Amino acid sequence: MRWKLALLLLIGALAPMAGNAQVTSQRIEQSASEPQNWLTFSGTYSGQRYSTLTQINQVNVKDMEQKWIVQDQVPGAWESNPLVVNGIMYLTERPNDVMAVDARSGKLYWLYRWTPDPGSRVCCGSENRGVAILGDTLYVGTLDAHLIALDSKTGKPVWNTTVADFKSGYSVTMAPLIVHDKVIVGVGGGEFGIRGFVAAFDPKTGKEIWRFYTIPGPGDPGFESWNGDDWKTGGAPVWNMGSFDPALNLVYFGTGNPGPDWNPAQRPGDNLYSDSVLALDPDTGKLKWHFQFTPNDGNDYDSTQVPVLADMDWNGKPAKVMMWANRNGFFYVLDRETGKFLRGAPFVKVNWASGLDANGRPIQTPQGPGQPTYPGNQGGTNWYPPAYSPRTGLFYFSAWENYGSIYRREQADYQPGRNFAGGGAGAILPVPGAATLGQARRGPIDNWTSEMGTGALVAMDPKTGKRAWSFLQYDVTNSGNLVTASDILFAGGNEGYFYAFDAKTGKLLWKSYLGGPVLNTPITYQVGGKQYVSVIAGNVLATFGLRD
Amino acid sequence: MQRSFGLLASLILRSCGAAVVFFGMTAPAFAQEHEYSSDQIQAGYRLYVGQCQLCHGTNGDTIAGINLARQQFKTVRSDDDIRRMITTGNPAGMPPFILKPEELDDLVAFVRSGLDQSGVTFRLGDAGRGKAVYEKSGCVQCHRIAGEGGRTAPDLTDIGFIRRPGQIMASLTNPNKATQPINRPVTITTRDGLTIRGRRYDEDTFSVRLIDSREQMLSLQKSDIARYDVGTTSDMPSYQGKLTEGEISDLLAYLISLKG
Repeated sequence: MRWKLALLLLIGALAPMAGNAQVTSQRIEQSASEPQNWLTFSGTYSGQRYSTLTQINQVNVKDMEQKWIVQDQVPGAWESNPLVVNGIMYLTERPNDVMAVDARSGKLYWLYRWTPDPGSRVCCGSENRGVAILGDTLYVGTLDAHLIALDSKTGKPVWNTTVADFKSGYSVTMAPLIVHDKVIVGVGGGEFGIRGFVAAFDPKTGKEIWRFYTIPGPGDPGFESWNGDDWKTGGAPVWNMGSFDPALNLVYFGTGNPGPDWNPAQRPGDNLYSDSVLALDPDTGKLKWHFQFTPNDGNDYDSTQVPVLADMDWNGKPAKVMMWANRNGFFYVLDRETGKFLRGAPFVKVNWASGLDANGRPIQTPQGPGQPTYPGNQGGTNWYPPAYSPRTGLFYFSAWENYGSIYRREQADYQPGRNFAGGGAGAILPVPGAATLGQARRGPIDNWTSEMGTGALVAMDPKTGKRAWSFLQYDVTNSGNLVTASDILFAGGNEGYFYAFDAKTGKLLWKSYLGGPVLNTPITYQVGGKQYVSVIAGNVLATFGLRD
Repeated sequence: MQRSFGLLASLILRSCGAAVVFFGMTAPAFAQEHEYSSDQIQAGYRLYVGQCQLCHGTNGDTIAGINLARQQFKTVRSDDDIRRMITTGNPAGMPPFILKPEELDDLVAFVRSGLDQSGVTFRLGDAGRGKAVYEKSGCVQCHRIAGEGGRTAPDLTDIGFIRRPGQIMASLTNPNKATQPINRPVTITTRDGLTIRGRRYDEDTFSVRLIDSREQMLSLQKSDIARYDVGTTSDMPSYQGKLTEGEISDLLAYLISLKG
């Protein structure tokens, strides 16, 4: 009898491993049915960041405590988004380190280090936003524009392929997206005169399967939106995560700014497909439709936000929509089957456009030299992922309010791999002409003041385009959002707080000070029967759970 | 478009070059009296973007041990040293650059300005005389350097490291415009009826930390505050007209010599 008991105990101990089958594309497609794991960047393909885990609820959330931390070994902004598979967390740190961590204790299983070529060029820091998993292989893009496959159990490389030439300013900062047994990844470099693209790779060999250029070449539709040779250096990078609709078999990616960033006069035309959302066939890379948010952009309004897909009633009919709070300050709802514009309105102060026409095209009102443009260069929102709860019907995102920039527009001369920005942008300050704080303001002391702009966590009702509630913050916020079926919204901010709100009302339920800005987004998972919430703030990944 | 701009740029460079021949002939060292003009700094900026930025980076800090914006060098001291380094290169990997003397002056001006893209003209005097100006002008009542002086205004021990010359110049001559937003004076009345005047370290959604007029470090919860006013002017007086131009350039030279 005793051996039978031992066997039962053994089976019990292995129970958490029961889901230890390999991560297949089908499993990622159905990831909503295994909320204990976080199998892809957004939790599910929809980009909703909605978890059905409910152990942490409205009543006990106030009892959350820190369970463990991981300390970043490399200083600098930490924008990684972890995955969790069967109790193991996979995440990245600067510049291109990958680690496997025990999701119960925070202890390291392994650490892989890739040193990108010192000649790599990125505009805005040595960021990496995470890995993808398929089978027992992890995939990570690098600053020198490689795509590397790693054995998920040992951290050793399986293959390493070149996505693009870093010497021409290409990089990979986004986490790859797995769809239909393909590894899909886009390139950064919108400040270096690249020609953007998104490409799919064979997960077994690293061989490129298809490539879609985000700037059409001669003979392609949309090529007429460029003048002369401008298209060759037109930017339109893809540096943040896309979403996937398995039923429509469409994968959606947002594209970044055209190049040179700040001098639209140098590249007349709409500059397709910069600042757009692209609907691609994941099997072939063929374009099904596109929607451009900001034609001929001069304000660096990358449309690299994560597309959020939901099915909802729209004017009395069921609709498949895509929600999008754009860096340009407008909130959009599109029909994701066709790309048709359904609704759009500003969510912050906007003066670069007076509104949108019936097709969602902005009526542009460029501000003169020395005049402030709203929203400013960092945008009304940016890369930090939003969340959507099918329970509340609300779309949650971080916004910068009353924040503007004064742009400087200059001719840019293209040289491969060199900055191709065409000017710059300075902050609007409370005292006109005052010294700017510049980019170095984030020292150990946060000396931001609210006169330069404030942060808001916004709960938007997509059906009305109006805010259901907002949580206003003194400092701006670059935090992503996570919402659960307990109607708890988790988010952070630049001030270093990590919050739990009632997702219906915006009531603050719990907060913890983590000592550094939250620059990506929380995730939740369950292991050993316990729900955890992890968030990166400053140089720490902190994981919370209920008091034992 | 590109060609016409190229012509314009070269015209600007030439006109700046003509304007700086005089300074070029004097070959000033860093500590000597010298004016770096706005035109020079901006021309230097354009040269920097084309010639230097690839290795030294936008902020001048991408090579270990060197921070051009903060005047942190490995071997260079004087303006002549900078010119020589650009002209000859070094074995560590910096190639020699063939530039006209006036272009070298422009680059020196841009580096000395702390890579100030807006290119504010500034004049450096004598740091030793500037120390005397600092001591006689009442600065010490509010500011502190290396443990000496008041604390109600920012400590200046490393001001030459954290601020550009143009910013310091503006602080001396027009403090209301130049003050950092976080340094604007705040007046707080607590729900207990206590009135506090001070200068903030930092503020967030829930709380504020400051040093008050009695040099006490305080942390206040906003829920305990009844009234909160942020001043629109600086408490610092303008020294424009109070000090001669020569004294201001001496004072500036002294302040930017303070590296902490």
